[in-house]
Amino acid sequence: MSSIGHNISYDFYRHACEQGQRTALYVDERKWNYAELAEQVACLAGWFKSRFPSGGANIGILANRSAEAYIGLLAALWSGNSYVPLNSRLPAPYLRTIINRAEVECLVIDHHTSPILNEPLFREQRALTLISPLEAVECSSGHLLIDRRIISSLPRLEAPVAVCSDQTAYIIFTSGSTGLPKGIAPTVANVAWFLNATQERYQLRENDRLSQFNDLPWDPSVFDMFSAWKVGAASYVVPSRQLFAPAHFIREHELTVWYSGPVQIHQLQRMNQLKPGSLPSLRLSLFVGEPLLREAALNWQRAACNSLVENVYGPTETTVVCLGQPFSDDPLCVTPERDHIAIGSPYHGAHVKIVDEQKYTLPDGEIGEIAIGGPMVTPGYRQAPELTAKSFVSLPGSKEHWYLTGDLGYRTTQGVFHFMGRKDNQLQVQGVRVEPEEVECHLRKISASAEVAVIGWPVEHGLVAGLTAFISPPQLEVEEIRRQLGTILPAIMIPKQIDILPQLPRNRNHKIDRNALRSILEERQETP
Amino acid sequence: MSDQGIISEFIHKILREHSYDDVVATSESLILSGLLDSLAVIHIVVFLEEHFDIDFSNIYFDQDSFDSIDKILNFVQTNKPE
Repeated sequence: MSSIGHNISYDFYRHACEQGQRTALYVDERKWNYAELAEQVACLAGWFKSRFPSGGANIGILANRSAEAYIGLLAALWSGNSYVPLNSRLPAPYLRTIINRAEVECLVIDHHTSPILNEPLFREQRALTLISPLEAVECSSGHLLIDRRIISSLPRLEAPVAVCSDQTAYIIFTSGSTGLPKGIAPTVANVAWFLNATQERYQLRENDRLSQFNDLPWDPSVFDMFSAWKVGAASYVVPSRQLFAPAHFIREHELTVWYSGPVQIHQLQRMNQLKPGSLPSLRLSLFVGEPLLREAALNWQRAACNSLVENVYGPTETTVVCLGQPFSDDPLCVTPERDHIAIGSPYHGAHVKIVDEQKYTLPDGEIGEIAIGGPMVTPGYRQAPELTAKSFVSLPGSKEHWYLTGDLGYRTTQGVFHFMGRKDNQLQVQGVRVEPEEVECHLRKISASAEVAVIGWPVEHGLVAGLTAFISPPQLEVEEIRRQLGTILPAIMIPKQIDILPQLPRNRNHKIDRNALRSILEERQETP
Repeated sequence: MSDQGIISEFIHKILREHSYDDVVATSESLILSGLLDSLAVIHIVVFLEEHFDIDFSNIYFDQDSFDSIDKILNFVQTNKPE
């Protein structure tokens, strides 16, 4: 089914027509109103339309926290294409892998990111089409650069085009245990469901000012932007240099909605910047990506004294998030075994079950795997039918499409869901999803060690702060191993410490015993 | 020891904990370059609080002002209690 209403940029366009003077975006110390931003978007969308007349192309966004990034992704959607947010801090080979796997047709860049493409790796392979929608950027020869002059010579695309509900909205890559990142591609129908469900739950208003704190390649950013633009509100992009301690930014711009990982609470707390009553402008604070400890929620609640504080949960495979638990002094909102906030109840229209190994629903109170079904379940992993078949399944007695999260949890008789860790070894390192097997795969190749294992360690405030590796005697110096890992993997995936053991401990199933390795680290911490 | 000496010694200690054994120039980027991560920034903050009595609760915190030994020194001189 094809319709203009399916185009995710449609509400943005509508607000630009009806109340163009309202602020849509604050970025790089500049406010853009809906009309100004829509004009830039319509220009670039005109170029996309002439280049990809039937739409469906994947437009890479290699721009961070700049107006170019938002113009680029809005224009991609407006013209019936998909956007692929890219992290410019990734090492070139990793970035190149993602660009190739996503079949990116052209890249929107800004002046911060254009130098990356001068790397030899990007010059020796096929030439890329680079788009610089605002100012001119320096760029090496070998790539085709489309600048403002070329863009403005083409007719504008005055309104978003009609798209089919199964059209891909964006593609996000997460760590994959096979050693290659996995591509997840929500459809416009998935995203439309998410935006409707969040609006129903949180009742955003046109005078709200939402934080745009989350990096674009992490899907909570979809809420930061599109939930704001759905209702004619503004999205405020936190500058890179203030990401570490954003309290001042919240106060300066009197933000009303905050959305980040819980680690920001610990950082602000540590710096004494979370004084009671210090964030009075907030009326909604959402925390996502890692368990929200009760104490952290309480500290935030005291600072954001007028805010509803909610822990939200959901994997990228089911479109941003689909469960939430408001924080209160009711003990039922806490997962007692772990002293973190429960993951709560499903958003309207989301179905959640706890299932056993045979995919049968377990009774309340029993721990099993969390399965999510409904209109937010994405089509599966791109170009990975086997991986898709393992996790995107049907359940006995249900006609719906379900996603098995790999997360463990249980449901109480009151219908509240609680998170109890992972079924596999997946970690959240400073909020970033990491499959230790992906790191192990590269570590094994580089070190030529017979055995390798990567553990989530150190753990601070109950959150994994980094990785530690154990390896059997390697062929290279540890420093050289770390250096080589640094050239191919994101910084967050590089073990801070690599320990050499004559051999790694094994459990009864002859698998590497990660618990025994964790105990070594715990003992070491206790006896410095 | 001079303030610069104290800061430089501490930064090199953190760098060694991050398995980086070289000496960095006082103007060299530490965070934007990726040598140190945000957790290391916390360690720097704690160190500056304890060592120079700096109260972070009212400071407009900008990560740029911690990006090199020179910048940290400048930050300390500006924010140290009289």
